[in-house]
Amino acid sequence: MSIKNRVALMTKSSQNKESIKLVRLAPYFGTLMFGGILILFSFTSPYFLTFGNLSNILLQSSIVGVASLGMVYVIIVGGDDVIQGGIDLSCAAFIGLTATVTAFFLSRGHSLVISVTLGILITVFGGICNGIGVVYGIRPLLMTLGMGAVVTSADLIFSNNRQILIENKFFEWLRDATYYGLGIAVYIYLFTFLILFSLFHGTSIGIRAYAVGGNSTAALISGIKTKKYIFNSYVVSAVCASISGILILARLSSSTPRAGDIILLDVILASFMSVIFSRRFMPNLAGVFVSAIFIATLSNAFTLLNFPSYWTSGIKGVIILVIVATRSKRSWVK
Amino acid sequence: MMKASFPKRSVIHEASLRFISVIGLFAILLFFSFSSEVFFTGNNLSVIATNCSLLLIVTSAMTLVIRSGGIDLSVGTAFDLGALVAISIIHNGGNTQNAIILGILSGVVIGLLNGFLIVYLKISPFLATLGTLYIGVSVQRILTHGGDPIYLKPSDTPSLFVSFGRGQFLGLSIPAWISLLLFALVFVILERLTFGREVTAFGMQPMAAFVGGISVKANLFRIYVLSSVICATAGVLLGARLTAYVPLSGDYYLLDAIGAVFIGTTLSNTGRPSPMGSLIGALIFTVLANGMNLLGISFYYQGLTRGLIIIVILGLSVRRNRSMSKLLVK
Repeated sequence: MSIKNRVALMTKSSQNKESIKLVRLAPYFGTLMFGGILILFSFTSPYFLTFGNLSNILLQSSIVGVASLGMVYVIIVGGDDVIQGGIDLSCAAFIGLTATVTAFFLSRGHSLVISVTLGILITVFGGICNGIGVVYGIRPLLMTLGMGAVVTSADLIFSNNRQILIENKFFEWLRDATYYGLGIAVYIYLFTFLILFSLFHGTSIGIRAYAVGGNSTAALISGIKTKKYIFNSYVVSAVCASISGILILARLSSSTPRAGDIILLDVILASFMSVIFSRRFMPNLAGVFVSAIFIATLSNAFTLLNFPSYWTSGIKGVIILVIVATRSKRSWVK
Repeated sequence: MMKASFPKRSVIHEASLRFISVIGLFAILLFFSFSSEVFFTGNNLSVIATNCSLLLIVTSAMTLVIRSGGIDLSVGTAFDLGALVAISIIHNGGNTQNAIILGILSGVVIGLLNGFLIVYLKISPFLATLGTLYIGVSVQRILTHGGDPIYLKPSDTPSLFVSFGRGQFLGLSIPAWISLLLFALVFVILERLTFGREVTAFGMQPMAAFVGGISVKANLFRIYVLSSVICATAGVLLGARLTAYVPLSGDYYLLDAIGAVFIGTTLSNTGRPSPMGSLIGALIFTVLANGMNLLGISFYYQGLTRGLIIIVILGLSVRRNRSMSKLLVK
């Protein structure tokens, strides 16, 4: 291919007939895919489409979902470039730390309010450190990687690498109580989503956050306090992670050291997968809300279909690749 | 309009900020050689070289990929596949040459998959390799019935295979020599060959590289295959060292490798990953782990120290990049 051809290809790529058809369909692709998979599973297992099972899926998605809501905020504000852009790898460690610290103080006989507050505060402090580091100029990937190591260490120190069992009325209520058939965790997930969503799209925060993520210099020049937005995103992510930590503590009735590590990949996946539910292929809050449920649906359906558990992650991987491949019109040659 | 002004810093100040990772490494070396008597003995240094070897190999692979503007989260998958293939061949009575060669070549499968996903399906490298990682985890669980390690009986293991992992040559272990060899390979590719320059150009400015006539697709494909093959070599080495295959052991190196590469980027003016920098990053991690073990520090605190050191080194290097970027903006 000559250089002339390459330039021509570059300039007219958007006028390509074929791509126009696909682009029209693409925005709905994620939704179609999700719908298709729901229908497919409802044929294969009679239990899948029962209310009990659907509420179970929502419950399973809540822990990953809440943490993903914070993560996607970081990705939106930092830009979705994976290496240079925003990402919070310490979120898994934060989830574990909140659970451990809360359980630690509860088991020492401190009151519920104090324990939960301390658990959340210590995590928020970590988030503040992340924010300061990133605003100062350290790459988010590395700042949060380093913070993750520090926080995991703190988790081990508090828990002494042991499981801490808790017996508390509040956590039992959090685990067992249901209203209208849905667990408390689902309401917390929904509530967190609604608060963030209304703040994001009801005020100018959302559009400014996208501006900072898209081109931070342009955003700065047009009068947005970019540093404030970046800093806040890490604090929000830490708060969301700590809520997730409380939920995981309630669910297991005990804190296991490094409990968050196993869900880190799911959290990252839900955040990046949100782009397939968006018309402009941007990470977005509503997309994350659906993605987390989507991921939980896959796990749930495979369990119902009696797949051995070690097949699940592979099938998840394939399905995600298929979805992402079909939507990726945003080519790597921009 | 503002006048262009150079930061008013002495040469020494500027250099000390640039070489902060090297200074950090020397400070760590100095600290441990004072606090532990055994640290600076030839024996311990060769242990460090051996411990560093696998991380250095994975880091070299990661340097290649990050230089091309992507990232490879499936290094652990290629690593484990290499170990799995080599160990199962020995386990089933195959000979050493086959085990090592097929183990190393098994990385090609992962590389081709990644290359296909990234180049032809145009999935972003992060998500594509994340998918490969998921699939790899599953495949390993399936093949090992949920995650049972495969152990080789000492009586059945060919001595040549064992010496591949544990042998000594001129005072260093074989894995250390192989890691140096692979490191040199990556160095030559990135710093001396046209291929390396093309990859660098693509990593920095994809559009410009494409318009400039670089065959982006072929180069990217080669990068991902090369990265996976290099990681599979590390897997074979670990298998030979342990004479066992432990599922999912490769993922342990992923975050360390990414950290090491980015510590290395502080050496460059433009924040570009370089093999030399990655070497220093990998050494910092290994020396820290070795020294802290010698001092008997509980592993609870090791993560804390490592995390803080990453943050401090990167934080200090930011001061310099800031002055550079100010220079560019004005």
